Parts: sequence; structure tokens; C-alpha cells
Amino acid sequence: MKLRAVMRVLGFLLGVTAASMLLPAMVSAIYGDGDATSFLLAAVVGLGAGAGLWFGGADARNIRAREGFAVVTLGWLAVGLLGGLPAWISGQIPGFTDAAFESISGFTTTGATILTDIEGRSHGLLFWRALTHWLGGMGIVVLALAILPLLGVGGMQLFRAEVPGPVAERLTPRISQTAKLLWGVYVLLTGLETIALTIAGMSFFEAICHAMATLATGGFSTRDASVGAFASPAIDWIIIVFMFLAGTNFTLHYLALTGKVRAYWGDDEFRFYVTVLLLATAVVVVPLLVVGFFPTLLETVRHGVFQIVAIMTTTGFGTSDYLLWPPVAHALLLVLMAVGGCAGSTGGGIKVMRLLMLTKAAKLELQKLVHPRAVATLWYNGRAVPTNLIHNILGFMLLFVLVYIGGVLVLTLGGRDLLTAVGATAATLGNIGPGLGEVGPTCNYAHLLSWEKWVLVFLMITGRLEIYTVLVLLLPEAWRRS
Amino acid sequence: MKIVIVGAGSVGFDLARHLSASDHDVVLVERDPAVLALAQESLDCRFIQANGTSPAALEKIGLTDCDLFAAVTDSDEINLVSCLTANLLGARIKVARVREEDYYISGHTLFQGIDLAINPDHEAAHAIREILFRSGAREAYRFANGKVRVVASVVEPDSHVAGKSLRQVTQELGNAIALVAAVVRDGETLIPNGDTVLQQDDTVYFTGTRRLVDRSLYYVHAQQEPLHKVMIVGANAMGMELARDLISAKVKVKIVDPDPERCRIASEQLHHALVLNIDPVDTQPLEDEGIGEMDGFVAVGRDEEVNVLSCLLARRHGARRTVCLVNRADYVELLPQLGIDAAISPRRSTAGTIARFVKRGAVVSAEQLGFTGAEILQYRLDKSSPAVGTPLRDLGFPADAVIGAVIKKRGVETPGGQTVLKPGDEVLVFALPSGLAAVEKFFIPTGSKS
Repeated sequence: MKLRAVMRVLGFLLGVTAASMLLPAMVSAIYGDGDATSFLLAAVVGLGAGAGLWFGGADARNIRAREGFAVVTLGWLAVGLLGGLPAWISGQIPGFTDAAFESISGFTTTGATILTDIEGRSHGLLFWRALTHWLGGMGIVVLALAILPLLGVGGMQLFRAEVPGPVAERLTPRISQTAKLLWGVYVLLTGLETIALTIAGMSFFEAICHAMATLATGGFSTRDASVGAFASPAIDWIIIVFMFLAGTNFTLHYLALTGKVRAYWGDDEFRFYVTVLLLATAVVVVPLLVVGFFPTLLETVRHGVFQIVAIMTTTGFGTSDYLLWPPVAHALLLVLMAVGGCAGSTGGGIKVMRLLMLTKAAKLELQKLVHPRAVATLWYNGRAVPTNLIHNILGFMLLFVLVYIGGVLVLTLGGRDLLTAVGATAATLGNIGPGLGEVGPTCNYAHLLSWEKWVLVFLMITGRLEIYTVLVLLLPEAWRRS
Repeated sequence: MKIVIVGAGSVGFDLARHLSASDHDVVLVERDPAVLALAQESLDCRFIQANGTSPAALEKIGLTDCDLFAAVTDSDEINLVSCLTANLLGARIKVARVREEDYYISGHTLFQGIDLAINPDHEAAHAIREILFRSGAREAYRFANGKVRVVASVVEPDSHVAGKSLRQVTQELGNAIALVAAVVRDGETLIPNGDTVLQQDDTVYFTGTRRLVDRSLYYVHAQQEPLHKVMIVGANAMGMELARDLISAKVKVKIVDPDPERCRIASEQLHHALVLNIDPVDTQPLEDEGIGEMDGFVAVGRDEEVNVLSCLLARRHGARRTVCLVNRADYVELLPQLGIDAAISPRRSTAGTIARFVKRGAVVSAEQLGFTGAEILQYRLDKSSPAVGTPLRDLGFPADAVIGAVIKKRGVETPGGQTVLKPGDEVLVFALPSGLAAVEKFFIPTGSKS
């Protein structure tokens, strides 16, 4: 491991994060909420630390895969910690653990919050929470790649570290160009949602905060009752649409913008994604209708679809307390938490693509029982998938399940009830936000113990970075010098 | 005539044998010494161990007096480069074997200097497909980009035409039945006239547009059954091309090969086919895979004996139509007696096509008809062709040949006594060996040498 090369990139990332704090500082100044100084102070700390790491580091031009993993993991941690400083300095979040939890939950686009009385918080802080989502959304690393190949960072390795698995349908040969294109789509969609929400009656400030949180599939709201606080069908439907788009592979959006709208339906993953969403909606809406939870059919469908999309895309907004819904809804939402969005989207979880591949692989195994001599290859999007890739995905699944079980075990070991432990693990590992039990949609994570919060922080980062990226650093080989 | 052949693989070997047997001066170029040694044992020609794309080697052979240069290795790129090099070095006619669809389509236009691009696997696969889709079909050929089809079919005992003379048939059916250009009876080809009586087990060669030919098949083989399930033995280029073809026609395909590696490649290229790693003479697993329920069974493996055997196996288990790849003439004659419906001999027809191409300039394409030496020849007429301008009735056309179809710009016509040929028309001629020479005189432009 070339630690000094890693340091230089980390320094750069901290610098960018510190610079981005000027935005919430400006928002604070505009609204006069008195938080501007704490943002500036945190920015100075960030710049100082960043500069120290940059100048203490060495040329990062020839970075290899193993450094890439370290950069991504440590980068997320470092940026997350720095992002917690302003709220801690200003005293809005008194404990450092809480401040770091909130910030890392933001940067990992989880949306799990420890804040109560959100409406009473300063505009600067609310904006910063949304911005952490937005920056985290497509990945600070992709952002860095898009803006500055000045580092000469070996982009390939970073991109691989960012999204392990068979993603990155390369649009253009150069990775930084790809990143820029996708970032453009991201910005465009955010802008569109902001406009739509403003038209639907939100204040501009809240519209932009919700738009950033939606596109990142984050889930921080500016209200205690999340999107439900607005009680507006128009807002709900707008957010449903954009959550859905944010959970779709951004490459498809780009292709659609260049005129290839058919690319959506031509994509195996997208079709599967839509199918799962529709099926899940049916499974939730029917019992809701039977028990008559909402007064009208339209309202039932709206809340049902909203919650399904919010959970599956790992956004985690809420319009209704789903813990009061029939139990089958809980079970289904728990399953969808693990599924997550499409590969190449900002959603977390296992990813639709992986599940689709495994479903196909399982079907092949079944087929082999009927045709023992069959030589079958897995096909995905019209191409044969190499076997080692399926092994990679199987490995991912195993690790995901192991980490999941580990999380539940550790939390129950500390005395949490099973429902809360499972809910909290699923909601953080899948980067969703609200879980079940004591961390359900109407509760928050404030009452958890400090060590429990750090466990969840680990789960958030591990989940966000697709398990492998973090766990590979546990291998001693990854740290050897050569 | 001096002929240079690059590649002593199966196609090259057959071509060399074919051409050297008819007194041509053949030079066989092959890179692999082992392959070359094998060819040396049984062929009478000059052998050169060299890379076919090497300008130095080709120059040494001397191509300025080369009449035909045929590059038929397994590699498209070698064949193309080799032909282009030969073009620069002065070879007269250049023929390249090309497998890749892309090269094949653009072969004539893009690469100036290559006179003919041939793809034996491809052509055979298409022929098999045509046969499979038609109950009773034995052979199928396409001419003029598919505008004209020739399909050979067996006459069923209880069919409409059995026992009737062609004159009777024409009186009854008029334009509803395609022209019968040739009949094969007991291994002998004859050119029929109005008095010819069609008997059961005759093979009749229908000629005309696709629609007409397909409609005509009902009169000789009333039970035209649909094709839903096909098993293919041999996951080679031909088998895979056929599989692709059938899959795109919504047929369920099972493809069988004894070699695990080839199976793997096939499964990575054929999305909707079921690829099975089974030895084609291994009965039990084939039975388990429902060999008997197949509408079609095609054996195109490398080993001809295995092909015949597996077709017999399929037949015995109840497969409805069987098509077998064999190149040996003595086997081909056996197949109908064994109950195998059709034989495909791509190498022979390839060698035939190339050889024919050498001989006559006005021939657009040529096919061997069965194994009796009879041929189907497609000629293009120009102003100086003797057949132009006179009604066919008055032409004095030999009795051992017949014009099966006339391809005019506005469409395909069934020739009649009053038909008059014009420059630019193309004709499809069926000729017995005895009539070949006589036929040529009518169509070869007077100005050109043979």
C-alpha cells in the first residue's frame, strides 16, 4: 500500500468537502440563523487537514486497485467525520458521535437521523444535510473524477473501487468523461425536481433540499414527519417519480437524453426493477384496501407506491407510518430494503442487477437438473456472462448476508429487541434510513447507545461501498508495501 | 490452367482434389507442415509450405499467369489479405472463403479485386433450414438473392400427382403448380416432358418463386407439418448458423456436441438454444433429451459416419425429418434407402461452385444437382448471346436440358414456348451431363472465349 499516495487523495477530498461548506455558510448568512461561523470554522479545519495530508502525501498518479479501495473507504470516513463538525461546533448536535452519525448517514445517502425537532433547526444545517446527501449521491469520488483529472489519478481503479461488479456500461472511453456525463444527468434531474416541487407548492429552500435528498436516494427531509408533513398528493407523486428515476441506472438516463429512449425497456435490469416495484405495490396495496387503512383507493395507491418506491430505491422518505400497516407490508419492506436500486444508480442495497443475475443463475441450476448434460451460460442484456463474474456476485451475496447477520447479532448482544436490531441493520446496510421497531419511520436513531451508532456507521459505509471495498481492507495483503 | 489454393483444410483439400482431377495445374499453399503432409499423401499437385498472406511467397509461386486464386483457410482475415495481395500480384480471378457475416455481405463491393466471396457453412445452413421447413424436401437452392427457389421433393404414393403425366398435371392445376425442371428416378436424373409420368418415390425439382414452390409441395407431399423442435448435432460454424436461423424463426433448438469446449462456446453465442454435451451416438442421454419427439434432426458433425449413424438413431426413435451432412458420394446415394430425408454436401458444392466459376464467364452461379452430374446453371444474357430474341419454341433447345426459370427485371417468369429472352435477363438452366456443352452455346456471348 502506498500510504502517502492515499494521503494525497484524501487531502484533496477533504479540501473539496471543506470548500463545499461555503454553500451552507452562505445559506446561513442569507437566513441570518447565526450558523455561518461554525461552517466557516469547520471549513478552515477541513482545509487545514486537507492541506496537511496533500503536502504530506506523495504523487498519486500511479495509484493501484488496493490504494483505490483505501482511498474510497477512508475517504468516505474522513469526509463524513469532517461533515459532522459544523453541527458539533455550533452545538446544534452536542455529541460528536451524533454529529458524525448524522453526517456519515448523509454522505452515504442513508438518511438515518438522530435529530428531533427538525423544523427548529437552522437553515444552514438543513441545507448541509441535504448537500451531504447530494455530494455523497453519485459519490464524492466520481465527482472528483469528473472535475479534476488534475490528480492524474488512475481513474480505472477508482471507478472499480467505487462500483465493484459489472456496472459502468462505458459511455465514453475515458472514465472522467463518463463521470462528467452522468453528473450532468444528476444535476439536470435535481434541477427538474426542484422546479416541479416549487410549482407543487413547496418553498424553494425546501424544494431544493428534497430534490437533493431524492436524487441521492438519501431521505433527509426538512420536516419531522418527512414528506408526509406536506400532505400534498402532487408533491408525493413528484417525489415518487424522481425516486424511481434516481433508483434507475444513470447510464440509461443519459442514453435517453441522447435520443435512445428505448434503452430503458431494452435493459434487463430496468424491466426487472419495474416488475418488482409493480408486484410489491400490489402486495402492499391489496391488504391496505382490505383493512381499509386509507379512506380512498387513490390515497391507498399513493401511499403504497410512495412507500414501496421510497424503500426499494433506498431513499427512505415517508408519508405514512408503515409500522401501523398490516404485517405483510413490514415483511415486504424488509425484503425490499435488501434489494435496493439498480446498478449505476444512487440507490444502495444488493442491487437489482445482482438479484436478477442470481435469479437467472438459480434458474440455470434448476434447468441442469432436468437436462443433466446441458452446457448453459448466463445471459444478461444480450450478452453471455463469464462465470467468474457470477462467482463475484455470489461472493457479494454471501458477504452481504454475513455482515447483515453480524449486525443483527451485535445489536441484539447489546440488548436491543430483534425487530429493532433487524430494522436498524437493514436500514443502514442498505442505506435506506428508517427501519422497523424503535427505529421506525416515526422514531429516529437518537436514543441508541454511542457504540451502537458506530456499529451502524460501519454498516452504512460498508453497504454504501458495496461490501467488498471495505472488507478487502481487512486482508493483510491489502496493506503490504509491494 | 494454373490454380493457386491457399489453405489445405477440408475445403481446400476438396477443391484441390476436384480441380487437379480435371487436369489443372494446382498449387496448394499451407502454413502447417502437418496438414500439408496429409494433403501430400493423396493429392497430385504442387505443395508449398508458406503463409498465404506472404507477398514474398506468393511472388515466388508467380501469380501473373494464375487464372484462379482461391483462399479458403479457416481465417477470414488471412483469406481476404491473401486475395488482396494476389490481386496486386496479378492473379486473374480471386475467390475468398469468408465466414463473418459482415465481410460476406460487403465482400463483393468493399474489397475491390475479390471476385467471389463464398461461405460454405453459411450456405449449407440456409439450405438445411429450407429443407427442414418443408416436409418431403430433399434439396433446396436459392438463386438470384432468393427470388428463385429450387426445391426437390419426394412424390408420396397417395399424393395428388402420383401416377399422372406432367401434361395431365398442368391441365388440372395450371399455374398453381411450379415447373418441374428435373426428376430423379432410381438414382438417375431425367429432364421431363409432357409425357413423363410421375411415380411414387420420384424426386421432383420444383422451380419458381418461393410462394409457388411452397404451394406446389402440397401436391407431391400432402402432409406439410409444422416445425417446432429441432435437434442439431455438431456445435460447429454450420450448426450454430443453422441454430441462429431456426431460433430467429421461433423454433426450439437443442444443439448437441461431444466436445465440452465447443459446447461452452456455443452456449455463449446462442441465447435461446439448449446446448447439450452428449456424444451423438450415445443413445440413452439423447433419448432423455427427447430425440424421438423432434420435428427435425440435423447432423452436421465433423465425422460423416457419426452423422449418418445419429440420423439413423433419430429416425428409429421417431424424429420426423432427418438431414445429414455427408460429402462422400457413395454415402449420399445410400441415405434415401436408409430413410434419411436429405443429404447436404457443402464441400462438394463449394468446390463445384468455384470450379464452375473458373470455366465460364457468363455463369452467375451453379449447383450440382444430386450426384448424377446434372447441374443447375444460372446464366446472364447480353446482346450477343445466341438465345436472345428468338421464342424458346424455335430455339431448338436440346432435350437433355431445360430452362427452369427466367429472371427478368420486373420479376420471375415461368418459361413457355412463346417466351422471348432479352439482354440483361438471367436464366436458370437444368442440364444433364450430356447436354452441358450444347447448352453453353445458347448463352455464352459469342465474342467471349470459353
